Amino acid sequence: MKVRLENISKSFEKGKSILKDISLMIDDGEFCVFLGPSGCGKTTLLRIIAGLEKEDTGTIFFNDKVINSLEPKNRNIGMVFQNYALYPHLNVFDNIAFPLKISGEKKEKIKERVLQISEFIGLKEYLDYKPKQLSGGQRQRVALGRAISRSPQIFLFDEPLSNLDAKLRMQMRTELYQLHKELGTTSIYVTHDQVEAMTMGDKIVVLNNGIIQQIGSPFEIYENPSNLFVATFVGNPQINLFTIDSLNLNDDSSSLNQKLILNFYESLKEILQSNPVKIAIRPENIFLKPVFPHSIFLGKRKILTIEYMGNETIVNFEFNKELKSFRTNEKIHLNQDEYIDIYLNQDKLIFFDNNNNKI
Amino acid sequence: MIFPMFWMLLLSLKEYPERYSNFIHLIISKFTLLNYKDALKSDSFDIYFFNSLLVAVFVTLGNVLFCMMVGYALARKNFKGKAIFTSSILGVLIIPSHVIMIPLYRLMVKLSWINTYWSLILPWVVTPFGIFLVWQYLKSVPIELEEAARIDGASFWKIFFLIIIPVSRPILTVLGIYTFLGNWNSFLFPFLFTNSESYRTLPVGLTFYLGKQSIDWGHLMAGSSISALPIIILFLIFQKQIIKGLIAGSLKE
Repeated sequence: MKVRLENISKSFEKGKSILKDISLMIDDGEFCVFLGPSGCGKTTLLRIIAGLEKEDTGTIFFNDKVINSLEPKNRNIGMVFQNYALYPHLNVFDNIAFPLKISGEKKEKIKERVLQISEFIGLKEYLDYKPKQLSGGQRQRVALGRAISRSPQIFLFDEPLSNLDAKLRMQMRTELYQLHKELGTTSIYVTHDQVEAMTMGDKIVVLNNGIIQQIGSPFEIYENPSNLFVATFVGNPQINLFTIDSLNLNDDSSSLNQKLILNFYESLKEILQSNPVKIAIRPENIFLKPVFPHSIFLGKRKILTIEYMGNETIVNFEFNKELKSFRTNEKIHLNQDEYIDIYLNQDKLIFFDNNNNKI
Repeated sequence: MIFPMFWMLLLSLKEYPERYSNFIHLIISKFTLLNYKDALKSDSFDIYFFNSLLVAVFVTLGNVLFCMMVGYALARKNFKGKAIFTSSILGVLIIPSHVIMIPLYRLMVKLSWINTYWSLILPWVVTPFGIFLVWQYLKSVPIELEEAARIDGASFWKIFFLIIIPVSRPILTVLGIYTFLGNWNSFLFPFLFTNSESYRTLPVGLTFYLGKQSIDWGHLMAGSSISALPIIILFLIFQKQIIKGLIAGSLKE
């Protein structure tokens, strides 16, 4: 089922605007992730699609059919909540069977379907258990089972993994993704966790302050952020930012600005003419040696901290009294307070204008 | 806590217990069920017992259903005048029941409800305390349960009866038992609102064993023992739920 939103706006009482003019399109079978910090409106948007919240203005289409006035139960959706929302007084069987019972299915059919689902989610031995006897991961699977029992056309996930511990979260992430691949149902997934968004999403919608910042594939979001918010929100460690103003005031002969003017080749000269205010570069595009032909020397910089992660090392260094970082997977030996040469890969620089939009 | 119960049982099993001047004599004297026989045989005891049971059951059912409904509305719905409504409920909670004794009596007289079951049941079928109890409990029940049920296709009343009421069972059990006990033991208002034998409840009826000249201790204690019995049985059955309900919401699940 295709989902199309047109000009959705929503404010809560006291005039606080939650969503501003949201328009987007989700294709049939697509896994779409709403990503943003808490309070950005992503959950509200999901609840509007579910029908649990009423939009102030705008139109919601499911396959070109306007469904604004439909009750949640008539939208043919399945939803998984952050706190599982399992019915505590019912056992696993009855939890999964609840939507089927409500819709008046025959008893044998319900039993057959519940058995099929319980096998699918790997909880066939737990049908008699009450939710509180299950672990967090099992509860989330039951919630999943309940959501798929009516074979909905759209799945809605509201931060379903955020109550699980890190290891279980990774495992469930894989399971959810496989489930999506097997069922091929259109899924909308809300999260503030960029790793979940990057690993699961076919399409990521980045939201901030109720406004869509960017819609794109994980690759586009990471490599080609459309504005400063997306650039800084996605990526860990955070993208390195340099203001051109502060660089101008710097007497250092190896300042970034001078190097930019000296070294830039033709295509970047155009960008420079449109007065960029900020320059950003991801930590993996900073090196200790001039690895790439278009490298910019940033001078000798002092190492503040070293985070050794095993497969990679994140080194934080000082630049203009600010903390910048780079990532390397070379096994090199560095010490704190040591001075190191810093080179930027010029091809990977991202420029932003004074409205924080990418040039 | 045990001693008064023991004392009551002991006295009820003796013929003319007031004759014994010391404790040892009382204990070793003959046990008898005569007092119970007499109490059960007396003309009006079964009427009192029936009245007490009828009133307590209806008041309890009323409380569970209506307090649940009002409490739910307060916890979940927004309506005009909600703030005034809630603060007036809380306000009523602090009024001692003795203050409303005379106004309520006059109201009953005006409605011609004196000496009817109405006066024994209707003023108590919904209480601010019960509303408050349910309301606070429901505030701790995650709203996602209802949202999940809405998405699963349930209508409002189905959600109310299939999800909300079963989930609230611990607090409803507490409310039910509390109301039942309160009513079963209630003396003042049934005493005020009835003067005919056929509408007297047990606690009121028992006071008539306190005769004009003397007190028939044996019969009084036998009657009291019988009237305490349902409460003890109730408590034994629902012990677990009572404790669970009392601490509901205070522990993280």
